[in-house]
Amino acid sequence: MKKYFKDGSTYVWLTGAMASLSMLLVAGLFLLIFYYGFSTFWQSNVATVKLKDGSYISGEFKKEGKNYNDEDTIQLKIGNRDLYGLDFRWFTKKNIDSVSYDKELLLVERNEWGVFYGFPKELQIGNESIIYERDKDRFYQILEQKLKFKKTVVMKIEDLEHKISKINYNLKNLDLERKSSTLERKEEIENEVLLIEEKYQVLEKRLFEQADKLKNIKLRLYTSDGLEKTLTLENIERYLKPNSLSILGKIGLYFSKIWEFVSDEPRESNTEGGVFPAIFGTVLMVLIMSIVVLPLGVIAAVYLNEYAKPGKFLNLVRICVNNLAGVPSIVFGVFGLGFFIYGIGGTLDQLFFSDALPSPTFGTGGILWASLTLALLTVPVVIVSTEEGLNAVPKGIRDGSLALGSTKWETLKNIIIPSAMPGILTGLILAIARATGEVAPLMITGVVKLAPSMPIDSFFPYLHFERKFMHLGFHIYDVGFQSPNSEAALPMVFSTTLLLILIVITLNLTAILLRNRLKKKYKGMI
Amino acid sequence: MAQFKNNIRKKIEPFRKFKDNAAKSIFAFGGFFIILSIFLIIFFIGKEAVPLFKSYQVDSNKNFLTDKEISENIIDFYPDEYNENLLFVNKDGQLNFYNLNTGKIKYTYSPVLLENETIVSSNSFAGDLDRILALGTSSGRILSFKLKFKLKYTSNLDRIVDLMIIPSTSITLSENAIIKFDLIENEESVTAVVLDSNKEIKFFHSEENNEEILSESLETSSVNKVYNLTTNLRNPPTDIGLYFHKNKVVAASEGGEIFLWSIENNQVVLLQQFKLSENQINKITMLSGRNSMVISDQNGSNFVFFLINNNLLKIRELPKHEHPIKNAFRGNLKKIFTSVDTKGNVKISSTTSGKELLNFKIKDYDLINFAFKDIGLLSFQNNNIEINEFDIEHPETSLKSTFTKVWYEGFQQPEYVWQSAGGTDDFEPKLSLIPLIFGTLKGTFYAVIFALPIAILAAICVSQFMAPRLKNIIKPVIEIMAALPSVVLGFLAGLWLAPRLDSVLVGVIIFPILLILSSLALPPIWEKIKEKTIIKTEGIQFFVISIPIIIIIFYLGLVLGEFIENTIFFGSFTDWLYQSAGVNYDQRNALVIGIAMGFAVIPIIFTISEDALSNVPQHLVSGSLALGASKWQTALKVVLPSASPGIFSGVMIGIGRAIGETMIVLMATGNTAIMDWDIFNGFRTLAANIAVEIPEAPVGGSLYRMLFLSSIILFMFTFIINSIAETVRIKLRKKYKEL
Repeated sequence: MKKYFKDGSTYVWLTGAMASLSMLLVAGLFLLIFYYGFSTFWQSNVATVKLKDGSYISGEFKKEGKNYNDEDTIQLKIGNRDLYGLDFRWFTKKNIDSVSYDKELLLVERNEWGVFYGFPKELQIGNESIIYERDKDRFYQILEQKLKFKKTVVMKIEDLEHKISKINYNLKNLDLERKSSTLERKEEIENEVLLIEEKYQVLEKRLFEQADKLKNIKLRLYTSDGLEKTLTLENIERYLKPNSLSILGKIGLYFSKIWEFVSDEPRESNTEGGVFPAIFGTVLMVLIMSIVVLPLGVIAAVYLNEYAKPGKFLNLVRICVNNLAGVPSIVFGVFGLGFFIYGIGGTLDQLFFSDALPSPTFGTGGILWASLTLALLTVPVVIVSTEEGLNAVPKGIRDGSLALGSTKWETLKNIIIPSAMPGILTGLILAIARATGEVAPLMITGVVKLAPSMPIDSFFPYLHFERKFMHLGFHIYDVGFQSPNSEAALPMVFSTTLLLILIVITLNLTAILLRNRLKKKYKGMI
Repeated sequence: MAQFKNNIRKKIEPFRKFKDNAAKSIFAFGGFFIILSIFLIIFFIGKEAVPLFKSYQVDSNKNFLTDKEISENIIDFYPDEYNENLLFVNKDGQLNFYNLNTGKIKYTYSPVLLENETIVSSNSFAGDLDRILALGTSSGRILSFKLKFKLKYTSNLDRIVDLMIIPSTSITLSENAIIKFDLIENEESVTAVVLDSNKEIKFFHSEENNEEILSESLETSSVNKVYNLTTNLRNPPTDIGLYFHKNKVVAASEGGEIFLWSIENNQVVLLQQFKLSENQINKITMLSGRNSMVISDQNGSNFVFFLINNNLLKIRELPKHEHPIKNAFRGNLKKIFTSVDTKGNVKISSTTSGKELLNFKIKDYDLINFAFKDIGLLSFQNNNIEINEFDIEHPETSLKSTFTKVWYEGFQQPEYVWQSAGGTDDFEPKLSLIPLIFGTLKGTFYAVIFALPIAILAAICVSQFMAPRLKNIIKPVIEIMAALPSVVLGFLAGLWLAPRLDSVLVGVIIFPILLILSSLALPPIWEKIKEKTIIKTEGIQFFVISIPIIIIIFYLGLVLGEFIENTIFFGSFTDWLYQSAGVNYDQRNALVIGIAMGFAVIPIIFTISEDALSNVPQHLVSGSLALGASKWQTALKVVLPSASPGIFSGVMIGIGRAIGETMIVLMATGNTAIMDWDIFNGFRTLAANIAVEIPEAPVGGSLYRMLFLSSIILFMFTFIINSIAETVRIKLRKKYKEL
């Protein structure tokens, strides 16, 4: 025994255990996210539970637990929030009489109040009515038809809405112009406004007509405990019969749900639907940031490495630049708020957008300011990595170029920078990865829960730098912590987390691979 | 041919040189500028924070002359919000609204007075909606009026302030003239205390609404609600004040005594009576909110008193004057106090910190008043009005109030408090950074406690005992951990870990103990296995075996934990904790933060330590092994000491990361700014506090600037820590090179 302590096998074992533990922690974390993130999209069977007191309720089993009396309980997602008030309910197992999976049970995804579990009764189209029990096939046939019809109507509505938003845009511009124009022009504007408003009325009427078409089609359902509910077509996103789906059908549904998640707009205050605007906002913000940070970082690094006089002072500057990467991101956010938004943005508003004051244009958070703030935050990353790349270029190559008579600039342009490209790219990718996952500085410089309009649209000048935007990381924070129904929102948050992690990890792995390539390329050269 | 080449060369050569020089200047200028501007960030943030602690001065000193006749009968005057118009109160009751710039009276109002009645005293304060003006008359009445100011702009954007006066209340308190009075008037009730020319103190309270009192105004039927408080006094009273409770009255006397009465159930109770000093007390100034008061005496001293548990307590002394104090004013919007002595010296001080904010001297005066929005002091003599304007932006902040304990209104003792917003209008922001700095350190401490052993021991294992092939897998995996967005860690900690932790708490606490115990028991068995099979410690096989063992130990910990919880802690550890130790278990607590932030810190400490450990020159290791030391002995006695500066710098950088971490703390603690080291409580850090409060902070306000100050502190913290780490690391690298 003494021997073990002396030669330290005990401690060696302990260090090994810690190494294994840290691997376990990483693996556990990823497994957790992958499990929850991917299982969100899987449609499980919907059970109909008969309780001992004779009542029925339908829902999906979620998890098991114990109550205060140490009895086994089970959680059911019962949906139908408009009828029951809550999405989840716990049942004591001993109160459950039997569980059945009814093939005819219908799951309806709605625009509001979350999902509906129930049984079909009747489809009403104007005065015509199709009773489910009489002709089941026809019922579904017509329902399918009508949902297709809804798609065309929705497209028409979207088209009309686009036209209306164009009119609103024109009206807003005219309104701003009116404030600062002569009397004659003012009259002209008044007339224009009248004309436009007439057009607006017409469009609005057509919009309502289209919407009415959908309101006239009603789906009557009843829940397993006998409550009736009538849904109009405009509320119905899609329907499915979860218990009669085949495995293949479920797999198909699984992928269509994933597609919906990445390509759709969010619904129900972000807790359902997709995250497309958040993906779009994140990408656009990172793009603007890259355009700014790349030249800044490269110029600064080239200056430090090639032009600045080496010495103690330069080393000091280098340490400081290095340390800037460790400064908390919120500090940069505070700077962005004070300097970009209230400083530069406020001044811009006074100079160019004084018509719109007191409502700020650039004097409030927006995608430009958020991108610039993140550019500042990530400049040290690009500088450090670019310098590494420049340093790795062997002295021999450099001297060779100079010896052949090229100037320093030519050497730099033709030899050094191309050779250091992997280093520069590594820096950029690391910067992008950092910016994608960063939330704190964005929260105060322009990210919002739900942006009314995308930063890019079909109205001049197409790219709206002053607009607020959505972001994946902030989406996680907001839906997970600010939403009123956080338990129902949890699957959504896990999916967003998974998406974010996949993006960040891919970016980081690319950076690591690039860096290794750089190392290999110049190994052995002097 | 050669000629031709030379020609080209001559043509190109200058251009090349020019390009080279241009590039040089662009890079030199651009690079220098970029780096400089990055560092300018700190100066910008600092610039925003500096006004918190600046000293103030008088911005402008203006003098106006009025007509002699206008100013003849004046007993008092009140400025509007912009110091542009004055409301003159005449002896005969006439109220004139006078514009300083035009020199004309814009509006006159004459209240109904009794025969031979004159106005003796007046007072003005903020009511429920409007400002209220109250007049004390020679026949013992108090008349009050609502002042309705209306703001208009002309087409040239010139400001016009109009005034309407609406009579509100009229109460009779005495047969004698009212020398001084204090009044609380709002929708529900009217309360007044007066000091009359007969040196008697009278108190009046009525829950009836104003109209009812008004209707009976000219009769003295309300006398039955009047209480005489004079019985206890030995020396003549000098001033009186009314607390917000509406039934507590304070009075001061010529002999330096202070009295506190309470009027309850139609009875007058003397709660307290004491002698402050031998000096005559000149003024009682109730501070805004009427929670506390300042007492000014003949000796020039100003003392702040709080009413704590029906007891007046001297809290602090405000800046002292050389001469007796003649007038004193409270700030209406800000927690400031202004005193003027007999020689015209004015001192403005913060009632919260006691700091002197501004002092200046004014000319001799007969009448004086403080601007309604705390932006100036107006004094009046003969027909000259002197206006001194100033803007005290941040009276509540000083270095002392930010970093030391402050005794705030309504508190039992001095405390460090961060509370930036409250429910009521007269809420006083409490901006002490100490609780936040404390929270930052607490979070960092628990994160490092969790991360340090795992990261360093793992680094030792990976660098010393592991086969290179395995090392190439493990290192990147742990490094990937560093790239995890903190919002993800925060979300998992807050919504996944925190709700699950309390039920397995004992198991989680036992787990590390079991792990250490297992390291004592397992190696002998491991050696046996090694002897009998071909499995080696260094290889991947170690992990294949140790990972399941750790999982088993963890599971054992959970089972054992549940057992212990059921037997020793009567089924619930958290309940037991609350009942026996009084510790309240918050679901989002420091333990959760420690684990979550540990995830962020482990890869940092691990990577840097591992680098330092594996870069220890190989000949040192070989030498040690050759001398017969075991691998562990070499690692402990040779490698670890020479790499310790590197490990140190890794820990420092890890600490730097934990200090500035925002999202994890924001999402996984309750963000309550309490000061308690307890692991089961939450806290609020500097960084999370900025994220929470800055979107709501008005630009340029004290809170806004205070948040900029916290940013500076965060910046400094991390910058210094990282600099130390970096210097140590560079020195170590040099040392290795020399070896």
